[in-house]
Amino acid sequence: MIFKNLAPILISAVLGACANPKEAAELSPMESRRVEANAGVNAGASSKTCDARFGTSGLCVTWAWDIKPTAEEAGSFVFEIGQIDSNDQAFVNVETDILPTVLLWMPSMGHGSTPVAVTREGAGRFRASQVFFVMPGAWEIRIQLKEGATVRDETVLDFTF
Amino acid sequence: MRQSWILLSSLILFCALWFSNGVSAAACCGGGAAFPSLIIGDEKAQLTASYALTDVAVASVDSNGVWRESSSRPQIQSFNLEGAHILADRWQVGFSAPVQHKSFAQQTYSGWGDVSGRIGYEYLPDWDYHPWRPKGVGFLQIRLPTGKSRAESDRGGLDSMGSGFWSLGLGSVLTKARGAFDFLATAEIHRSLAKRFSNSQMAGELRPGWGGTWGVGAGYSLQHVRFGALLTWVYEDPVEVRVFERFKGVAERQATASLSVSFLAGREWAGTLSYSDQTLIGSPVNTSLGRSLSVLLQRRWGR
Repeated sequence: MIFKNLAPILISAVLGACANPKEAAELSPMESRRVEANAGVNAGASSKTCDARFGTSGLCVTWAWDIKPTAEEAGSFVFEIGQIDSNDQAFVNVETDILPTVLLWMPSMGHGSTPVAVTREGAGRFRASQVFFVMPGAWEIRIQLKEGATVRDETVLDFTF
Repeated sequence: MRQSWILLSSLILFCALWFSNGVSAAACCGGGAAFPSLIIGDEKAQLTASYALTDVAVASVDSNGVWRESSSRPQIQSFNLEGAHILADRWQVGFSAPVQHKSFAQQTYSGWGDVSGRIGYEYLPDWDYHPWRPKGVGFLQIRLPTGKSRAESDRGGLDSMGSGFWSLGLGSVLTKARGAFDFLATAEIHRSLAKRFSNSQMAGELRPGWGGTWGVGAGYSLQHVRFGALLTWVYEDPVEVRVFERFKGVAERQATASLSVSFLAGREWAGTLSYSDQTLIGSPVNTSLGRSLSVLLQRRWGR
């Protein structure tokens, strides 16, 4: 008798505890991973924008995807470090002695991803390759100027994968 | 009556193993607190082997509770060996040794999960019949950092097989059988210890906190077969990551609904087939969610 009375309560509790997921907009498949080179770092100096600034030096970073990553394959992007000329607002690259490091960090889950390889392509111009996001969501692309293990300067690019 | 007790023991063992098996680990590589295998019946010792296959159906649930799926879904295989042995009439010791194998995006990772040891005590014995008083077993558990924490992983957590922290836990299981029905309630709380870490990308300190697991279950027995259901909830405090910057972290929550069928072959052997799903109940955050199928085989020795 008691168990029959308890059954509706238990069933109600279970149904009330049912998950109510919030879903992100569905990611559209990318027919071509290679991005058209008509904007971003491949544009003229006057067209480049200061996408983010380093916290200590105030230097600008402009960046663009070269090959967008997918759920199974890594991608690559090109970024430049420089300053905006106060006269003509052109982006002027600044040479850095330190080879920047790129760290992928997922703040909502508290973990990073696989290591990113950075190569120098010219004065203040770099390519980050093997960029792989282990899961979808909001990520931080952290570009760091390090001396040994010490981060001297850093900027953060927000990216949703 | 004897059959009911045998099937009830199987239920408890299954529930206990399920906490420490692949379901919890499906939560992105980290997973919730291990739960011990306990001797509930009249056995002197028991040894259990289990295998679980988990499909990570939801790649991530962020701190705002937004679910995101991925076109490429990781799969996790979990193998677990657990044992328990009576020390004295009401005291017992046990262990759990899980191994995991993960595959994702043409990469595979294998390693130990969180190995744990425990001491149990039957604080509420069932020596005489009582219509409502349950049987209660309490336990003290220590968990070893044999499974890497996802915060210290430089593979985005793919090579993380457990919590990765030393932890001490305290818990209890209450059981009661009424005719063909049986009921179960569990609770466990633990404190994880801070650690320093270093990988190819960063070095620093991880500072976890408190965590807990609780659950309720019920079952119905028909001769040698038992049908069971179980709901469990897992909570973990945020893990603060102190590297070049201090990341406060986000608490982790997940809940699992499970259905099982158990079969007893005499008094020495038992088997269980179960299905569990983390996408059905609760309000998960900071986790991945999986669906698992598992099989379990147990050998018992009488006193």
